Amino acid sequence: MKILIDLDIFKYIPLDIIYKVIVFFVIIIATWIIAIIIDKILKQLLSGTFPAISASIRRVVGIFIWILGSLIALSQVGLNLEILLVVVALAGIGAIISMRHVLENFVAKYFSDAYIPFNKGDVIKVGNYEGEVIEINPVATVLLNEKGEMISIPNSIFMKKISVNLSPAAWKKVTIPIVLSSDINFAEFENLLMKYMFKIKHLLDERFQPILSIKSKSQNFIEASLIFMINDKNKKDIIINQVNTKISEIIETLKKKK
Amino acid sequence: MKRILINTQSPPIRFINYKGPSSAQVDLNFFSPDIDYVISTGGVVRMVLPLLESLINQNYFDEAYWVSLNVNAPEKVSMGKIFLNHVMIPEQVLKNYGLIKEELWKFFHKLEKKEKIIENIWREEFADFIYYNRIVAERIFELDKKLDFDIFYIHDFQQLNIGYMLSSLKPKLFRWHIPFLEEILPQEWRTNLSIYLNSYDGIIVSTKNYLENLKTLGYNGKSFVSYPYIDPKIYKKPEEDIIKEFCSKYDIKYEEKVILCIARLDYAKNQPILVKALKEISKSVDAKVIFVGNGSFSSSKQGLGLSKADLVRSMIMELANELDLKEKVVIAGYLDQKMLNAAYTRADLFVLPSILEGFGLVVVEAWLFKKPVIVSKNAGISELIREGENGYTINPYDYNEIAEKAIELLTNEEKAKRLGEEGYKTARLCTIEEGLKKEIDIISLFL
Repeated sequence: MKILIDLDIFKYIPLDIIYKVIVFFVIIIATWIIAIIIDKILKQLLSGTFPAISASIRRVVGIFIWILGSLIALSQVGLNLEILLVVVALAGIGAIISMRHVLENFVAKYFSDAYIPFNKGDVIKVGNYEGEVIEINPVATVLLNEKGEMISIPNSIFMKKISVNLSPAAWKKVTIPIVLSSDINFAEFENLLMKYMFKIKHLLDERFQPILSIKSKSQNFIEASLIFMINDKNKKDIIINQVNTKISEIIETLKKKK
Repeated sequence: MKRILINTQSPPIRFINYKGPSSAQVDLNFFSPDIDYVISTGGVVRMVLPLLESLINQNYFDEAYWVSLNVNAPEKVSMGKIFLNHVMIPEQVLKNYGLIKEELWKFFHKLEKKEKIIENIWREEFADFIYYNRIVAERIFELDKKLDFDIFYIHDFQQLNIGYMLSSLKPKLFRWHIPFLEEILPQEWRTNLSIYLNSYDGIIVSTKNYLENLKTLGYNGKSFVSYPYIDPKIYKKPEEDIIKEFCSKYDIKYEEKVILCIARLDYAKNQPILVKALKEISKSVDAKVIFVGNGSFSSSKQGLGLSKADLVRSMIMELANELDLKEKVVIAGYLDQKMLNAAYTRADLFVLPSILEGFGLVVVEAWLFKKPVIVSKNAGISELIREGENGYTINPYDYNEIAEKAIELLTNEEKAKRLGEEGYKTARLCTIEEGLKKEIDIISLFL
C-alpha cells in the first residue's frame, strides 16, 4: 500500500529533476570518496613534515575539494554559480591572507635550513630578546631566557632582523640538513660521507667528530643533519659547498647502485 | 604485551660449523647443544641471559629480543621467549670494526696513549665502526616498528653510539662494562662522548668510582652502580676423580703450590707479570702457575678473528723459557666447568694482575671456593677488598709486590684460610640473586 502511494508522488515530479537529484548525490558521494583518497595520499606524503603543518595542508586541501565538489554538484541542479564562485574566490584570498604569516614563517624556515646560523643549544639575540635556543620548528624558534621564560620568535623575523649568536665559537659549528629518499641505504650513505669527512679533517676542528643524526624517518624520506666543526672561519663557505656537493655525489652513487 | 630489546656485540649462542643459509629463521630446539652450538662464555652474555630469563619468569616482560653481531649463524633464532636477531656485516667492514673496537678497548684499559685514540677516531676504519653501529640501530628501529618495545637495553662501550642513532623516545638504558676513568679521556673526545652518553636515560656501571667519573664527565641522566654477578650454584667442589684428572693433565704434583690466574689471553690481563713474580716466589716456595682462559669472541675464529690471544700465549711461554720456568708455567686454555671447578679447588692462591679490569668476576669465583686472592689495584673489584682481611691488592706493574704477598699467603696457611673465609662472605654481593634484584629494580624504574 505504502509503495503505491510513493509511486504516486513520483508521477508528479518531472523525470529530469529526479535525474538531476541523483547526479547531485552521486557527485557528493564521489567528492567524499576523492576527499578521503587525497587525504590519505597527503597523509603519506607529508608524514615526514611537522604535524601541525601536515594537518593544516590536509585541512585546506580537504575544504577545497569539498567546495569544488559542492559547486559541481550544485551546478547539476541548475543553480547559478557565478555569485558563489566570487564568494569562494574571496574566501580563498582571505584564507591566504590570514595564513600569510604561517606561510612566511614556513618559507623562512625552509630557507634558513640551507644555512643555519644557529643550532639548538646556542645562545642568540634577536631584537630585544635573548636566550638559549631550545626548539626550532617550521613556524617559530623557541628561546629560553635566564628568567626561565619561553620566547617564541616567528622564523620570518630571522629574514628581516639581525640575529646574533652569542655562543662562544658558534662560527665553528656547521649543520647541514639532508633529506634522503628512504630507499637509499642510510648506513652506506653515512659510511661514505664519514669517510669523506675524515679525509678533510685538516679543515675540521678535531675536538668534535662529525655526527650524522636522524631527525625524522617516514615511509618516503629520512630527514637528517650532518653536524661538524670547522677550524678556519674564512673557509666556512667553501667547506659547506664542498660537503654539500659530496653529499649530492654520494646520493647519486647510491641511486645508481640500487 | 611487554617486550625488552637487548643489544650486545657478542651473541648468546655461537654456532659450530653452521652451514645453513644466513637468512634462515630457526628454533634452537632443533639444534643440539655442544654439537651444533655452544652458549657464549663471555661475561656480558653470562649476565644478560639469566637476567632475561628472570625478567620473563617474574612477568616483567612477555618476550625479549636480542640483537647481536653473529657471523656464520642463522639470522633469526628463537630460544623459547627469547628471540635472537643476528646482524651480519661485510668481511672488510667487520675487520675494520674489530680493529677500531680493539683500539678503543685498549684505550679504556690504559693500554693506549691519549694521542693515539684521537688519531684512531679520525681514521677511515672508524667509518666502518660507525657503519656497524648504524646497521644495529636500524635493525633495532625496524624491530621496534613491528614489536613496540618498552625499553632498550644496550650493552658495552663499542655500542655506545647506538643510543644516539636510535631515534626513539622510549627508555634507553646502557651498561658500561669496562673501566670508566674520566682522567684518561682526551679533551678532544669529550664532547662526542658526552653527546653519546647523554642519549641514554640511564647508565649502569660496575663500581662507585666509575659512577663518579661518569658524573664528572657531565652525564645528566640517571646513573647506577650494579656489581656484575655470577650464579654460585655453578661453582661447586667437583668429585676427587676430576681433581685428580686435572692434576694429572697439567702435571701438578701433590706438594706443589698452585697459583691460579683465570683471565682472557689479552695484554690488559697482564699475565707475564705473574711469570716474573713466579721467578721470585720459586726462591721460597715450590709453586706452579696455571693460566686458564682463551681468546674472547673478538679473537675467536667464530667471532671477529683477531689474533691477540696467540700473541699473548707466545709472549708468556717465551718469558717462561727465558726465566727457566717452563715446567712451572702452564697455559691450560679454555676449561669446561668441571675442570674449572677442579682448578679452583686445587688452587692455593688466586691472582688477577690486570693492568686495568672493568670488574673481575673471577675473583668472586675464587672467593666462592674460599681461596685467598691477590688483585690488581686497577681492577674494579678492588673496591670490595679490605686489605689483609679478604684479600690483597697490588700494583700490577710491581712483580716484587706480587711475589712478596704470594709468598706470605702460600706459607701462612692460617692467614690464607682466613682471607678465603672472609672473601666467601664478600662474594655474596656479586651473586646472581643480588645482581638480578638490583638490575630488575633499575629496569623497573623506566617501565
